[in-house]
Amino acid sequence: MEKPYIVSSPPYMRNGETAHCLMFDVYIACLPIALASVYFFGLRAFLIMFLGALTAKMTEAAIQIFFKVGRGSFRDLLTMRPFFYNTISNEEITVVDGSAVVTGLLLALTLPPTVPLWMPVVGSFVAIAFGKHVFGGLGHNIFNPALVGRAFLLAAWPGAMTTWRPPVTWFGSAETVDAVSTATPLAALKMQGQTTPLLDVLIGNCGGCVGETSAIAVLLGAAYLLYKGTISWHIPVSYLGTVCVLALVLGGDPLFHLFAGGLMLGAFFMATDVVTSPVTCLGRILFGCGAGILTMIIRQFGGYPEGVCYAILIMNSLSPLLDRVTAKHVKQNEIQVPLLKRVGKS
Amino acid sequence: MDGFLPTFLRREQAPPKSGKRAHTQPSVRPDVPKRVVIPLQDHPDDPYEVLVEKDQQVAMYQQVGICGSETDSIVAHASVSGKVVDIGSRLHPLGSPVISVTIEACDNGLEVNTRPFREWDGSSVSDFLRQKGLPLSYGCFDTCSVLVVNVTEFEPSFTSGCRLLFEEPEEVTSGLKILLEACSADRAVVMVEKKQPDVVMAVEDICRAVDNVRMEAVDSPCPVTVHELTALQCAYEKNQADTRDQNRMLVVDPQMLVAVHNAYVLGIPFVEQLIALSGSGVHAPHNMWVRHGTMLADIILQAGGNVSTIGRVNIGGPMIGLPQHTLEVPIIKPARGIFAAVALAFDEEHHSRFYQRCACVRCGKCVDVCPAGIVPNIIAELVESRRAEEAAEMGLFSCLECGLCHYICPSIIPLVELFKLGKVRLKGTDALLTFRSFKMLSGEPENR
Ligand code: SF4
Ligand code: SF4
Repeated sequence: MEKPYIVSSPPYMRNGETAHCLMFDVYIACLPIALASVYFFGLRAFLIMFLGALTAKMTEAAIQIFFKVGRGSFRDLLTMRPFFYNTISNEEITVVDGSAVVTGLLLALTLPPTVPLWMPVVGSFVAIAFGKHVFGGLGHNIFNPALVGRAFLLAAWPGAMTTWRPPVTWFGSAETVDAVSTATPLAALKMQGQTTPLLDVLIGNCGGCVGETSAIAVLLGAAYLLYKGTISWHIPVSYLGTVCVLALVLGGDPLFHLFAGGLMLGAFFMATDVVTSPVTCLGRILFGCGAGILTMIIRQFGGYPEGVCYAILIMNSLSPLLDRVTAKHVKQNEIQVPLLKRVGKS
Repeated sequence: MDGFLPTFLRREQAPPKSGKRAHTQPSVRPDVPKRVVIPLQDHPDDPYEVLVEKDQQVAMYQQVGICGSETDSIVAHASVSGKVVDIGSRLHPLGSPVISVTIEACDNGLEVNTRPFREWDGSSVSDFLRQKGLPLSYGCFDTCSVLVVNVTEFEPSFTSGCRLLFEEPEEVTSGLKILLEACSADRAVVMVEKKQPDVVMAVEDICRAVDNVRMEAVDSPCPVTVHELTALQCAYEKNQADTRDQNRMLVVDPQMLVAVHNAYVLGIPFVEQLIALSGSGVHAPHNMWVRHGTMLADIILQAGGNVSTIGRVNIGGPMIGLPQHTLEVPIIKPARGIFAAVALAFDEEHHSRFYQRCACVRCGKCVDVCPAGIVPNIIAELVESRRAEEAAEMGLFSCLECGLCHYICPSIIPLVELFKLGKVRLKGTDALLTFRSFKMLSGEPENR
């Protein structure tokens, strides 16, 4: 009797992409932003990003080891003597997939450069523990974990989260401003009615969060993500388009609204987070439009100068609904052949 | 660290075409096989009739049996001349042992009279084509309004359809003409892929030669399972009183057009087909004319493969097909290719831990590529939680089982397996399009 062949259901081909590759793409896309932030805000920006990413990874590792290897009890964890082996061989430990680092990094990018160094640590912990693992880990979270962390920090320590400082001047020019605090372009516009030159906003030479000031760096990273197909164009285009149109309608400067604040970072890195955005094309476009409308409402009429974070969080909660509404439904017994629709027409 | 580091280039959204060489190579005609096994059934419960006896000498093209019942049948012909050595149960590629006629080839000088259509005393062309053993969707022969010729090759390494266009353009043209007159369709559409300019040129020639034929250049190839889905749609709409949708389609491929021409003009039954051989198990991907009922082992030996190293063999291609556990099965009429892979490195055994299945990250890539326009991740989730009825409402039965979503999914979710599982749970194996498209007689679907 010859050996029977392997029988498994076709297809037998994959393009070899794994969830980890998606995360790695985001690291690469974050690189120009990180470089720009270190250039504008000094090594402190690097420290913030490093601490954010490290804490996120460690939190996820701790949670997974405790609940997966130790099955939720310290006694189990201690009596499992081949601890190291159990940890690396356990299939449910997915901390290596790198999604935690993405969360920590993205969270750090939304913090002001002046925050005390324990804030990224606390924020990352909250983001991973309460933004992600409470819901069941990667793929099950409803809200973008990085934004959950930021929203928590903003609510708990609003003072520290809204203290900004001007970019450092590296080549020691004499007229270094002594002012420790400055305003972000949006806050300056809202509170003092004062506009910042567009070029400064574009390259990032103004006050703001670690990663959001330099629109050019964000666009560079986004171009890579779009090329790799990690994100699709639907959400950024509809988001930015809506903001543009609303800015025109409400009488603002559309370009300023596009490049100032965290809109670029939000549209390309936060709103497009794969887990919390809708899957259908139409759903994604609606998601972007909704986020754009909410952002402009908060910016123009709300108490905060910046509304990207809350707009995206609110739309995140709607994305299962958008999926359900925009998915194709077929009637009982009906058969549809969409592929041949155009062919059948005479 | 396979699967850990990213590739800096964009990943393919659909399997890359790998049949470039076979696309330009002429197809080969191997020696006559020593033995053929001609199945008379698709399933052990199907009706059949044997027209020969054991130890009888048969000629090539002689009728050996009838598959199916009175109302729906096609005739099986001997694909070699020789002696009937056995009439009994043999394994069929669809998985069950069915009654088959085994013929040992020898040159016995017998001949049968092959009569073309003008010498035939029957009435309709469809009956004539049944007599000649063509596995067409006869259910929509009289109700269709468009005849669609699918020249696109969905399987990445298959080129047999295009080769037929290059090698036998007159036959294809004449077959199209005959079929267009015979069935109820008033116009025909030839689907080609935009990316294959040589095929587009060949098709343009055909369109010029036949009236009422239009070429439609499509972006992405059309999987073969679409043929069955349109047949189901036809049958469904026939039972509906209102005929609001006038786009009932009969989808055929170039192979069938050549067979129609041969049967109608020359009277030759459908006993030989061009199949594409692909995969690492054969010497090089190429196309080969094989007789029906040739054993897979013979075909693979002829194709320069080493049978002892093969670990997986599939009738059909790497994307849509019927996996086989042995090489002792005959090639069947609807098959257009064989995929054989050597047992060196299957992904399932040699991948790193990054290639494990993990939770769906809802990236939406499967939705973007799906040719049926459904939402695979939600349907898969519903099937897995045993809510197949809800999955059917979301369009589970529109799924073509083409496998593009499986190809692209970064979470390594076996999406197509889940869809097939859902279909089988709801309607049984008869609802599987892959299964139906490899049947000689798919028959009327029960009330769906
Ligand atoms: S759901 Fe998957 S297998 Fe089904 S038609 Fe869509 S891409 Fe193809
Ligand atoms: S491709 Fe896979 S991971 Fe992405 S949405 Fe579809 S099923 Fe989920």
